Amino acid sequence: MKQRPGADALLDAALTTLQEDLLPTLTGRQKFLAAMIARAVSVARQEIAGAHKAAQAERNSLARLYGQPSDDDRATLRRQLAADIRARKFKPGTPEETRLIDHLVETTAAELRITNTKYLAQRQRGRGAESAV
Amino acid sequence: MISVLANKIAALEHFIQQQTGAGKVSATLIGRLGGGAIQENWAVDVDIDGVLHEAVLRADAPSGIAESWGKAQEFAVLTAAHGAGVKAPQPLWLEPSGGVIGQPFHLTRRLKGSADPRKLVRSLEEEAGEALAHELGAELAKLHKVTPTNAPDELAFLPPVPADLVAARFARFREQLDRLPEAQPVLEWAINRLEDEAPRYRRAAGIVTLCHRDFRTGNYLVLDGKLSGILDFEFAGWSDPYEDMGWFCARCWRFGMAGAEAGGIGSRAAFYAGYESGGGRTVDDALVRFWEQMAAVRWSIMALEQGERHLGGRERSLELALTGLVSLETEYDLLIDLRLPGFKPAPKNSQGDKTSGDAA
Repeated sequence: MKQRPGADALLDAALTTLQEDLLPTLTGRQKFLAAMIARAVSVARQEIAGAHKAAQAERNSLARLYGQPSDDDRATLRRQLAADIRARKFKPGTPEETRLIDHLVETTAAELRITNTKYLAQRQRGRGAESAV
Repeated sequence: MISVLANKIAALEHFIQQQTGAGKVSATLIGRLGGGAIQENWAVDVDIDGVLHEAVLRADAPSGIAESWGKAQEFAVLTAAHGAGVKAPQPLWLEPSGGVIGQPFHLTRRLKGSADPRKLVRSLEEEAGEALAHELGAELAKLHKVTPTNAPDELAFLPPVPADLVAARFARFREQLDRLPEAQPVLEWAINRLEDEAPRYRRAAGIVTLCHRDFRTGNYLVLDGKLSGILDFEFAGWSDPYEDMGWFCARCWRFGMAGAEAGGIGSRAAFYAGYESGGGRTVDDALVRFWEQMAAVRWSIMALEQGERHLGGRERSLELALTGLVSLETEYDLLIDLRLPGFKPAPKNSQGDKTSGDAA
């Protein structure tokens, strides 16, 4: 494929057409479906732009957590981490668990920046702002 | 399915005629009703000897999810709930064999109103929302009066509650995670954390009632701000009543209105008061909050499973694919909320920050 227009410019053009020209003309189920398509395209666009960086950050964070880098792919690394958590290798209340939680928060936040940055911003702003009984 | 159902109208009419012993039955297909990621719901008008009955025909969607009951069981639960005085659609007729329209179905009386959760939470005035939360609490208490000892015979199919219900839930969560193609470190951590906390939340051990197990905003009908009926009994079972209360109050079912902690529509105080006024036990806020976190884990896993229904090719649906993404939001919630003492944020007045929180 030619470098121009490129994936991002194509998705951007498709999204703009969908949102500005098509969506306002639709009603009912068709509007609902078009809104879902817009959301899917928007997440895919964010993912193309940010996924590489997020994956690299996750690998670096895992290397810090385990004290050594690994050549395994992300899915394998996550499987290993999940297994270690289930095997209770991070004891509650220890510095290891604190570092684990920091890793999980950072990784999840990075993914939310791709899929729903508004939700992330609201939760970060509103932490603890919910009323207690 | 519309074409299939449209071609089966004569068979449907004959079935209703047999069930009612009526002389003349004519049925008219009005259209598909919303809210059916798991179910197919159709509005059907049935004329029986000149009297019009507005009904809903409910059949399974192409790929149901494992935990949901089939039509015969759902009909039995609905009958029991209706018999206990719960505001729910009146069950009319059950066809369990699949021989009439190609799959099992039942018909219930059609209630008026909308179940759309996003529209509801954004349209309610505060007073109406509090009244609705109160009424939903009272209705839930009525359902929770059905217990294994006083239940009608038709609920005999419901499996007994395991001796350690919470431990069984953890085991089930882990089984579900093992069946997903990708590992889920956040959920593994959340389950461990809840497992460590669980012993402090066993005060109500031993209370077992009929539970809806999907009692939340989006699963009841509202007309002009008032409850017209509770829907979707397909997950019902014997459980700890706090599981229903926690599911209702869980952040993931507030549809952006995080400050309205009871289902995005009202306050906990109103919901709890309604529950107690409906004959329920005194509500222990700490137990509700524990089960809210259980709800968050359960929903995260369900969302991932729904995404897999699409990705696994069983049912092509953009809606299911996008549902898979929602898990991330609830995982992030778990990472914050599970670290709060008692899973409870500090009271507002102790904070300098006066922002209105994450209510969208």
